[in-house]
Amino acid sequence: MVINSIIKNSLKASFILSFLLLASCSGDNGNENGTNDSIPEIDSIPMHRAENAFYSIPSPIQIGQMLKRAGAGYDKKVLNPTENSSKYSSVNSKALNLGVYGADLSYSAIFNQPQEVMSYLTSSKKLAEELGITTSFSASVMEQMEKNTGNRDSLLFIISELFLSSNEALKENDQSHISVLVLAGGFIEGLYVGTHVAKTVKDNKGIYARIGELRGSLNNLIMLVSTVNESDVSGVLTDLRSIKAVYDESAVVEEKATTEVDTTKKVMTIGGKSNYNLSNEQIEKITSIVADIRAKIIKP
Amino acid sequence: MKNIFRILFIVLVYNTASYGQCNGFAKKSLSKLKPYLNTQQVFSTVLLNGDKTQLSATFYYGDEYRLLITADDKLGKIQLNIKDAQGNVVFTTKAYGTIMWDFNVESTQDLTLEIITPEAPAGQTLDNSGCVAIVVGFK
Repeated sequence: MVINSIIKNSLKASFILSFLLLASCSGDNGNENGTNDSIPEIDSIPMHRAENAFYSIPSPIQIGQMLKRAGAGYDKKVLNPTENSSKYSSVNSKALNLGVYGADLSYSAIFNQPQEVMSYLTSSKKLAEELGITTSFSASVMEQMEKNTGNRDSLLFIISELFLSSNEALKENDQSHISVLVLAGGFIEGLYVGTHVAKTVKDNKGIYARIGELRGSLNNLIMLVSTVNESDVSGVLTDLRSIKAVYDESAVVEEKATTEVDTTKKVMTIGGKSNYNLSNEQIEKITSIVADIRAKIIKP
Repeated sequence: MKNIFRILFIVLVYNTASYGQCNGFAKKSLSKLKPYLNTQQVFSTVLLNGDKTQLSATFYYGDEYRLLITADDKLGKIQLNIKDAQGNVVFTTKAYGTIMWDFNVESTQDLTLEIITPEAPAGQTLDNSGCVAIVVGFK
């Protein structure tokens, strides 16, 4: 597949070069210096590549840990049942649910639930393999996971590596849109778990504060999804924009950031206040919209 | 024709580097993240001299982060600018090869990490090209 990508890009390059060669050879429009007006001098060709932008979103482990620190507990009932893993048929549905199961796996590992960890690992493996990700969920990785079921830190490390390598494998195979859907599925599941677990906790202000803070990452996810061919992801993009519309009902206040730097240790603290608070009405709307979107995703 | 060959050279270098070196280049840098967990995303690209790339991310209060930027030495001294949500540069540093900083935020912040490569040395006809990878770890 990597070779295919190289070939594809080389073909693109060949096309561009053919065009330039044809342009340079066609007609007698050269000026008296022998240069051709249709082709700019090399010095006038912008040699700098277009700026490329990347968007980072928090991993399901990061969201799960944030929720746990804010007082969230473990509730197996909110997770996507593992039995559903054999019922997804389209590529997009498999990709989104790989993200969902990855988030459920992470959430179970954060709360030390070894049985659920192994179940969600198996479901993730199944969907990953059906998507052509064969190397990430190798027998040795599965064995490592099994050996470390009691060691939360090791599990989180292995899960991070597992989903990073799956993501990279998809990108290498020219399947960036699938990789983006996996990330979107994981983010939506994190938001779903957060909004639903918050309802079961008496003091849930901290959890809702964290949900409010996910706003910037939601915007980054929308930008990331927008970078792939829209026809592949248009439904997800519309869904994410409907969540964003509720977040946008209130303004974010971010003061100018400051930094405190220790150049010897290469450590710094970035200061500056921010306010991502959501009103109760916004929280209710987000909870309801996310539940609808998530129900659509996990529906076999 | 000289122009065409120059463009051909750039296109071929760009493609070869994108799919060959950069992926491995980014993966190699992951080991330096320990004991931080990766965010399950790696960002790598090929840059020429005088190029820039950027990463938009939200950094959450309560998390500790490790930011790791690795670049091909032939690109020269790369520059990192950290910009806040209003676009103010709040931190800047330059280094050859690797930039690694650990940091935390006093409150959740939307930040942009901008990486700029230096212009090619005077008199050099062709820009150098090389991989740049950005990895963020957290704990």
